Amino acid sequence: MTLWERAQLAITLLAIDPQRLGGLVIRARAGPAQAAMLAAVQSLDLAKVKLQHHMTVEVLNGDIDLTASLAGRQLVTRKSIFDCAPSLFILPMAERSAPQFSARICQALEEGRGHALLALDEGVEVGDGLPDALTDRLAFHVTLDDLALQDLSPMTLPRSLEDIRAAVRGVTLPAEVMEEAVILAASLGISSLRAPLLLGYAAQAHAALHARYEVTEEDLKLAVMLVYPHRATRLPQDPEPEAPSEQTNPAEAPQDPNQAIPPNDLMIEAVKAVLPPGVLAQLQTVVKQPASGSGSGARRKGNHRGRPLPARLGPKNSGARVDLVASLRAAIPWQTLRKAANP
Amino acid sequence: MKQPFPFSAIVGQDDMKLAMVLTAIDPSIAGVLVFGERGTGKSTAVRALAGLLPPILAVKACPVNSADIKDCPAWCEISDARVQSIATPVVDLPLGASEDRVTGALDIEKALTKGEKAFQPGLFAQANRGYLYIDEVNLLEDHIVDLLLDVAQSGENVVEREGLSIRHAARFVLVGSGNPEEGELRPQLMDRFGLSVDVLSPTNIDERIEVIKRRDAYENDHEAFIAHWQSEDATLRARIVAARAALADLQTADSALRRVAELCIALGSDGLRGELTLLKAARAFAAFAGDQAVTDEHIRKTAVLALRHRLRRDPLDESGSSSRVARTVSEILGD
Repeated sequence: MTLWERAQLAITLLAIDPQRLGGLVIRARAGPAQAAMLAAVQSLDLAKVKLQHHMTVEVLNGDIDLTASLAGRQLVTRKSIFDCAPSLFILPMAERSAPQFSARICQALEEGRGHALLALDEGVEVGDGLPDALTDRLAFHVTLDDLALQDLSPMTLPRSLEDIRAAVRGVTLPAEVMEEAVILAASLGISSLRAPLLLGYAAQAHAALHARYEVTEEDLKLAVMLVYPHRATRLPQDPEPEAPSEQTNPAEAPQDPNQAIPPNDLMIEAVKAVLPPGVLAQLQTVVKQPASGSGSGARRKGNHRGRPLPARLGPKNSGARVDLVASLRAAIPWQTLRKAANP
Repeated sequence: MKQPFPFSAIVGQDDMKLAMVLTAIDPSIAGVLVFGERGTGKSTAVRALAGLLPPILAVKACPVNSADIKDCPAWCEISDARVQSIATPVVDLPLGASEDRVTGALDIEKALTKGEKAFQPGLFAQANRGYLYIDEVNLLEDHIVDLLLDVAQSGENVVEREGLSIRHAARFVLVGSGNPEEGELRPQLMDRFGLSVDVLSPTNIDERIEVIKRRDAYENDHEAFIAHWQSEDATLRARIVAARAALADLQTADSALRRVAELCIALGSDGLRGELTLLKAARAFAAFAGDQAVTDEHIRKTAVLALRHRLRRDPLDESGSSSRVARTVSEILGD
């Protein structure tokens, strides 16, 4: 399965069950591959909302709409951008998200409104990318940087998504399959428990796509290729022949997931096929900076200041300006009060 | 909205569950800080707690959930003394919440439409006598942390701004959760949390499989799952209520006080707050266990929870703070 086919499958599965799968990270610089993916997303029958990094807290959390309130002489509130029917949120330049911003998106994804997120990650280095808290909640991750123009073909999505969506919750997920998902996650060093759940949902969506009523090995394998590789932190080693050292009592020693139950080799091969060679070793050498460092380019302080604060000393011509709108907003409610006090 | 995941259905994570139950028994323990990696069920546990707590009686129209009309602040001008049973408030403090929203501020609606100067209570008022939950507490902005520090300490919210002069009770249990990779917490804020828990994802395969199975059942077989676990939650709730009653009659011998003090001195924990919290936690645990007096066993079980976030960093000791506390506990109390 080529990279492009995998990307197409990820979009298709996400379109089938956006509520439970959470979303997709597309790691690619702006270019034809990213554009082709976005074009495919635009054709999906989901409501799409674009997020921007400069969205203020008022937009994200909802607030009083002062203009409308003043005009109508009654309180008008503006809803939070997340307060809408289930939608696909598109976040461009996701690697630049500030921690507060991404934390708010995480909360929105978990509120149970059925939202999903498409994050466009244009990070360059191994260490920069979107915040881990966000990646963890989104099922899929595709990297499109190594694609040539000739690899791209127009994406076609299945016609009758409605039927598949209706069927997906009915697909049986055998207990053995879930156990296999958990064992495989442990052997790949994936500690988050969201990963096996997302894998299960992805396998269900894949089974529904092929009109099956039960998840098969094949469904699981394809889902593994989409959900696990970017989360893996190590590859399982072959069990070491030497006996455990005498000091440790095997009954008391913490259970090593690798040796307890060997994971299915077929699935490990599926993960290996997707991982570029050497990527895990590379990961271990890069210490991820605490969230403040995510994103590319130097960090700068914002230059919008406002609210009733005393004047501050600062270099002249620094470009900092008073946040006029915020200051006016803070002042407006007082006009009525002051007029009433001094008629 | 869906009903939250039942508290009793959470697999493992015994420390976290115990810490939350202890604050439910004795709210003056004042808080739980839950730090852990992604996907370990931190927020699930807090949401579940809301469903577990016993209801409280509060004056009907009171914005700060006062138990009696005498306790209602004067500015809300309440004349109706009727009380009603409400669920213990568990209030979310969202990241990026403004100062106005947290402390309360001028009621913009009344100012705009009627030209009246009135106070609009904020999150501190809503959380009185309940819980205030901060997800990603280490990402909270500094000016909000400052507000929180004062209110969490004094139990009173004072608003002196924009020509308003308001004060009201704001006693709540602070619950914070966060991922240590995303930044540290100010020591002053850390101090305000009585107990602290480090959660790890379970290393046992069977336990992990059980987590996934229950989550799957919760998602796909919602009603049956909730019905099954609700009775377990009810049993636990009854134990909490019984422990609250037992707390008053619990004996605390001088020897137990001495033990606690010895432990804190040996660990060099900052300030007396650690001692006080450990004592309260041990008492709550004894009451929960149905015992008549605080013993070494109770202190042993709660010492790590109450002290692990109060140690000074020791450059010569590389081991984690939990194991440092555990080591000192076994030195002082014996194995």
